[in-house]
Amino acid sequence: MRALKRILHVEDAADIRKIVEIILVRMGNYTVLQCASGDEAVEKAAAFAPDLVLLDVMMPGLDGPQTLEELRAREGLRDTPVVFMTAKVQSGEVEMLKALGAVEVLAKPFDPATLCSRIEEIWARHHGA
Amino acid sequence: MVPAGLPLNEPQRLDALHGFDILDTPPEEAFDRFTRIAAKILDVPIALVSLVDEARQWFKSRHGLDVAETPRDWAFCSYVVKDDQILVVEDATRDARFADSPLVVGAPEIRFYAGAPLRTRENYNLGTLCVIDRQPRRGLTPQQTALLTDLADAVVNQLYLHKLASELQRAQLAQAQLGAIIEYCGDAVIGKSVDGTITSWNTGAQTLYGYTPDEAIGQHATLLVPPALLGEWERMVDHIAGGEAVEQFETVRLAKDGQEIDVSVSLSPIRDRGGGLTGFSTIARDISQQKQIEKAKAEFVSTVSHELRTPLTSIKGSLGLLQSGVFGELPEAIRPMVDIAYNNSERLVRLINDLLDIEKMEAGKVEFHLEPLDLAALVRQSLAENAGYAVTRGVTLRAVEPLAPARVIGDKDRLLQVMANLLSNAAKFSPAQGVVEVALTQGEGKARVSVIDHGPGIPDAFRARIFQKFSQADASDAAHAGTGLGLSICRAIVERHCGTMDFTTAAGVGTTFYFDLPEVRS
Repeated sequence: MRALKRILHVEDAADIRKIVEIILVRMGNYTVLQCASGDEAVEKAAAFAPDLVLLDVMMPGLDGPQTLEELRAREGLRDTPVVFMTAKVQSGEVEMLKALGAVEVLAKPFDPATLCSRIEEIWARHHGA
Repeated sequence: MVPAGLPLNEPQRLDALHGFDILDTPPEEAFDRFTRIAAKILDVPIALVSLVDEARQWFKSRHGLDVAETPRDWAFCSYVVKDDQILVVEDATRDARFADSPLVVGAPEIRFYAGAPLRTRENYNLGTLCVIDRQPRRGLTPQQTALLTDLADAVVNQLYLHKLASELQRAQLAQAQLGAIIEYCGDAVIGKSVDGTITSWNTGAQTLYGYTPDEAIGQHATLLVPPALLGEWERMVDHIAGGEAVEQFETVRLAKDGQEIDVSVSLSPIRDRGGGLTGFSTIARDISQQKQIEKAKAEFVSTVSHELRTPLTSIKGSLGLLQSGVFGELPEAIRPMVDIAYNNSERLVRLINDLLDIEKMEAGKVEFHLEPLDLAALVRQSLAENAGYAVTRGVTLRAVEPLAPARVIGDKDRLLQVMANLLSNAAKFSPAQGVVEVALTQGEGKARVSVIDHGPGIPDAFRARIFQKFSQADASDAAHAGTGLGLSICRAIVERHCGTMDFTTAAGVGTTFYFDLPEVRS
């Protein structure tokens, strides 16, 4: 299994982007591209070529599920694992998001101390390790 | 005057008399006819229907007399009641029993008296049909005696008719009142025959569904059922036919204008005296407004909690980063402040999660994944999963062996949630080095899980509201404090499993929380 290096993070809330950036870059040493909207992510994703996408669910413009659909339609991103991050953990929602093709759904608020290790677990599981 | 004394069955006799509801009622031609005939045929000036109660004789009918009643002690009729046989006095002035009676000495100056008992079918003697003359007379001929007795019996029959009539009147009044209540109760009350034909239709039904009684009565009840729900309706009717009522079942019905209405319906079988099903009644209540409110509330809670979670993600994230040391070690004085803030942000998260959880549970929106469960295995799993938290409190979790081999139908994750809640509560309220025990027992078709702590017990003042939302005996420790929703969630989960939850507690001895679930045979 190759190592997880490049993460695309899509999140409309600037504060949360800042925190996740610090976690992923300073605590996890990942190469991170952050986008403030689904549209921006769809535009920049192919060029960035992420190993994994962290995707907010509720966003203005393209929401999480729509963004996922757009990403899936693009060359090179068809099989990129997508992890949803949602503040709206309703019953059935997790199942619904997974059915759309997400490999995992993380609830907000998350624990900063364990976020990187959880992402690594998901990455390992996705690669069947 | 020598008073007659009382018959042996006086109390029962009085009950029977009062049961006729006739005393102090206005004169009636039906009774006056008898006194008129008696006076005419026996050729006397006075004839009476006299009823003897505790203190007096009261005349339901009086021919030739103005007085409505006299004291019982003066009454010739009291002797007829006492002796239960016809009494003939030819000349009262020569009879020691009556010679000084005020009715002899004064008006109406009775000389001759003949009274036949008014004997009920149960042999209670209520009074007399009597004839009176102001002149002494020879006794009655056998024909006259027979005539007076026959007339007395006819008076008794008339008393029964009077009683029936007043009972009927009361029943009609009660029925009219009931009818008015049903007609204007605000709910739709509909009667149906066994085959589902509508037989009655009240104002509430007209208001709810829009059909007039003329339009609805005679139609089949499925007129009101949306086509998609016909299967549900048939199942409900089968249920009723089996003799069981359906209570407050929430469903949808179709109004005349095609609108679908959210209703809560209750159906009951209507039976004849032999127990045979003759139809059923439906009471339907419009709950569309209530449904809208529930929907709005659910949306509100969901939106609010989402809106709360987003800033909370930033707060908890920032504090977590400070704690993690990614910006360097925190100064000694600042670290506890960051810990406090972080712990409270976690508590807020729990609170929001619990609020959402209970809101969904109450709205019936939580889907339970029911499966047959080995309850003992579930208990052991919960002990293993929660041992870590207990250790942080210096508490040991232990099963009370043997755990009963109970099987239930349940949602494993939800029951584990209940156990986690009860175990963490028990650990929280245990003394250091304490032991929390979990027992699993069986009885009366139920499995009981008991979580037993040896803590201080639940304060008296808190017991009554322990299952209420936001009730906490002590919320001073933010790091470990619950949300005050845990037990209400537990109880809601158990109740969704058709179970019950309760507790016993004793000051200084400890507390046992237990829940019962219906057992299934494996």
